[in-house]
Amino acid sequence: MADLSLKNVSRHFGGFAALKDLSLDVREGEFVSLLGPSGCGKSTTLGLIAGLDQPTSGRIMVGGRVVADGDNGTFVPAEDRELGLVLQSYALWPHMTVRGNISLPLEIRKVPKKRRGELVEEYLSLVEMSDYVDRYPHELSGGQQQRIALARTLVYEPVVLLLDEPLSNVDAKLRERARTWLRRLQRHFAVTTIFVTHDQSEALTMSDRVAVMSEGRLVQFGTPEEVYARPGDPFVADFVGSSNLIKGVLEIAGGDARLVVGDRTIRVQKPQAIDAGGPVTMAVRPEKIRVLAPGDDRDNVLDIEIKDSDFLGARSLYHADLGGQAIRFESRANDLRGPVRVGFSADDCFVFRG
Amino acid sequence: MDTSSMESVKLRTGSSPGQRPFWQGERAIQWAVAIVVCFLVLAPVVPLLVQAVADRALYLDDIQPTFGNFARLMEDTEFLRSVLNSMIFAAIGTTFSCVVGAVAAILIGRTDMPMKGLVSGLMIWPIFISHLVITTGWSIVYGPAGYVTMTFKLAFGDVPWNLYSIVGMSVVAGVCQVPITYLYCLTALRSSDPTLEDAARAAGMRPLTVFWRITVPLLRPALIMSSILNLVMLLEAVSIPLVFGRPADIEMFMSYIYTRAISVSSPDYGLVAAAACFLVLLVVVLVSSQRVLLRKPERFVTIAGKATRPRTMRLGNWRFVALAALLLYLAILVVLPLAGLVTYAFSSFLTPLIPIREVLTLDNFRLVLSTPVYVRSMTNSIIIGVVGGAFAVAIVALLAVVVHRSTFPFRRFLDIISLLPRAVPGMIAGIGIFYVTVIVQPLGWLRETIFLLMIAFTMRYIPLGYGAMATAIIKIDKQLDKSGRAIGASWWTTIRRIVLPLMVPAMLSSYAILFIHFFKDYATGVFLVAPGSEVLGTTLLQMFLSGETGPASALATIQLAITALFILGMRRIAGVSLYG
Ligand SMILES: Nc1ncnc2c1ncn2[C@@H]1O[C@H](COP(=O)(O)OP(=O)(O)O)[C@@H](O)[C@H]1O
Ligand SMILES: [Mg+2]
Repeated sequence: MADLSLKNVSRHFGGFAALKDLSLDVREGEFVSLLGPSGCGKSTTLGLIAGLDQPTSGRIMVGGRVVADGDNGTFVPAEDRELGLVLQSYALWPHMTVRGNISLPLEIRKVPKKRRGELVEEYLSLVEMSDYVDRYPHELSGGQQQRIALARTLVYEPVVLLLDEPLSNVDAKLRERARTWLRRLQRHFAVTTIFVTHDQSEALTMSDRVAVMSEGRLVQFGTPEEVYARPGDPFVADFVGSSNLIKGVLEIAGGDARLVVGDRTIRVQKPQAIDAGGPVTMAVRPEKIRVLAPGDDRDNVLDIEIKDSDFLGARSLYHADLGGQAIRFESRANDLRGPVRVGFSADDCFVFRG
Repeated sequence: MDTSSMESVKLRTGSSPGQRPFWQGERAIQWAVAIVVCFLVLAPVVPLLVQAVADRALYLDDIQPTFGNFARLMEDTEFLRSVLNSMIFAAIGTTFSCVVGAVAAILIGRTDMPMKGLVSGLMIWPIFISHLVITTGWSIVYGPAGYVTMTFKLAFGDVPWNLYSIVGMSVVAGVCQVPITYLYCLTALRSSDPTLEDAARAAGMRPLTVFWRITVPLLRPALIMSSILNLVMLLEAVSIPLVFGRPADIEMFMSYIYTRAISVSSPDYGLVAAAACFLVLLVVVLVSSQRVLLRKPERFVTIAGKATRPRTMRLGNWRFVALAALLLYLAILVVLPLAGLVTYAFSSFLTPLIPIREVLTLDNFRLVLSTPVYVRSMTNSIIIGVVGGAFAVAIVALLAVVVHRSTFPFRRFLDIISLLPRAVPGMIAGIGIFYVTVIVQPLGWLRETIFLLMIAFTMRYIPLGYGAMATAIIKIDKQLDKSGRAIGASWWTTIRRIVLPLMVPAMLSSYAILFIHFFKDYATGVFLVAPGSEVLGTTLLQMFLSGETGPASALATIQLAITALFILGMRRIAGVSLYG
């Protein structure tokens, strides 16, 4: 097991900067998710850590050893890093059986034949796939392939496990079970794990810490609770938990901060280091906005008109208008229409510059 | 939905789309296509089979069935020796092209070797040029009296190669076939999932291990398919056995047939047909073995996840070594022989003993352009390529549509039978077609016209054109034509308005490929040309065989130039890029 550290890592493809100055420190045995929308550079980051690709600049260290340094050209190729990589397509070698796939990494490590057989058995039972040892990859379902890919990677005891959207080819129904299972397996081996995903709920439920990325930059790195409760910028607020983003002007009077949107004012959490008078964006989550019963009171009370609704099962999501900007809120009542009175507390309103 | 507007549609058209008259039927079109294809495919084979078991030439009266032809064939030691020679020749040639083609494909498809575009272009070159021309180029440069051979001899006293040997011939043949292996492997590499190799690297394998354990096994289907194709093409090779084999007294399959059918005054048709049947059988066995060898294609292909760019393997300084090796191969084995041929065309006599500038002349071209037969061969070939190519494209496009997009009851059968011409060597197909015009009296008028050659070439290259069409049509989403039917269009309208327009790019590249093959073919026409219907390839063969190398080189140079212009034109005007 090893810790992992990226220092000011950049990767340019021609003139295009896919990664910009990324720094990240991952502790030994930690489960860290790289979360971000498609194309933000997650796979690129993983490829750099794995040694399949070389950083344009910056330094990558695994277990205290420099494996890549773009500034002085140090580069340890993938096969010498002893990392485990599971790709989105699982990349099971189609011309080999399950047994062949799992024993090949052992074979090249010169593990004796008998021991190889034992290890294959052991790891297959660990991923609950013992009955499939003689199948070919094309004879397995997505979820089964994913398990074999993990077994093939764990069998040689990599120091860091790199997973690139490993659950995206698993049926939606099985995905939740796969999450629990994968997390248990990771704890069992206590292997440092980097888990790439674009699915915020996957990242929040599984990780020790979440690294949110956007357009090749790391925008926030913290525990799931921190990222959810204290988003560092509007992008994080929106990407993790899809907040309402409302533009307005900040006013500060005494200890109170307020957002002015057209002719309305909204009380917000007092931001640090943002001066009053400038344009700002406020984020508030739809589930924090409540429909008020008569007599209820909140920091902010708004009378708005429902324009549209999405039925979500246990709840409904309503769309309304706030000073020309769209605002959404959730309610257990799923037959609301027309004008309603909603409220939310100032503590749930985060303000960002811009 | 506004019901009044729906009503108005009905009023305007007068009928609802479901009530079309039955006879506007799709079946009529499908049957027509099926019959034309069956005729083209079977015409060359059936008469040959009949001749093989007949006791005298088919155009004579009073024919009796017999197995005597086969008996005589099996007793003929010359035949058995020629079969053996051909097999050794094909095996060595195929091995050569396998190794060179696969290595080049991997270097170009998967590594950071520089100048890939240029090298890839040069690798494909030989596919556009007939074996006859390449072979002759080789003999001009590396033959016993060849330019390089003589130069070498003057410097070192002797040369370490001999083209007039089985190995020598096999290498020339291998060079001709390299593009086939190269293209198959490159396509396989491009469509295979590069993350398989990434995963192997991450699992601790060194690049060379990845290469042997992952890349090469995944190339197996491409290698098997291209090797079988190469074996077949080499068994059927005509030019090398005739140009090199005959002077060296090494008889091979096609030279055996050629000798007994063409260069004697009273051909032994029964024996020739029996030999031809034997070859067809051998080829059928080879081609069907492919089905057995490739039983489980799923074991070699994977559905990639999201599109991933292949990572190129870093070769370090070895990339220059790789580039140098490929360029050297191309220069010595491909470019130099062609350069020799072109130089020969522009000179009166080519030898290192006399400086080239003293023998430079345009006489060969003057002779060619003032001899009616040569000029006619050229114009005939162009007409056949342009018109016959279009005719062939129309047939294969309709065939693809009937096989893949109709409910025609015999479409599976059509799919399989359309591969048959691949098993029939061009020269032998020519014999078969000749028989048809003799036996079916009403077709007799075709015999002295270029229509006969158009038909023969079309038949010969149906598998080639159909292959390209089938790949293209499979990629067109079936929901597109389903929705065509759903809005009320008939089958034929759907095909005409939706499917065929989407196939236009494939048709253009098929047309280009067919034109080039029609234009360079020299074997199919051997039995079919008559005064007035000469074609370029066959004329060249005759010229080279009778030793008119100078004028022949000039004519071949003109052929090369026209081919190059055609390819450039297709690329510029129609945006068709041939073979990637
Ligand atoms: N080899 C490459 N050449 C050029 N651009 C690339 C290459 N690999 C990735 N990119 C670009 O870098 C960006 C990040 O890609 P990637 O890391 O795959 O995103 P994701 O976060 O979805 O995994 C994308 O815009 C992609 O187009
Ligand atoms: Mg990705």
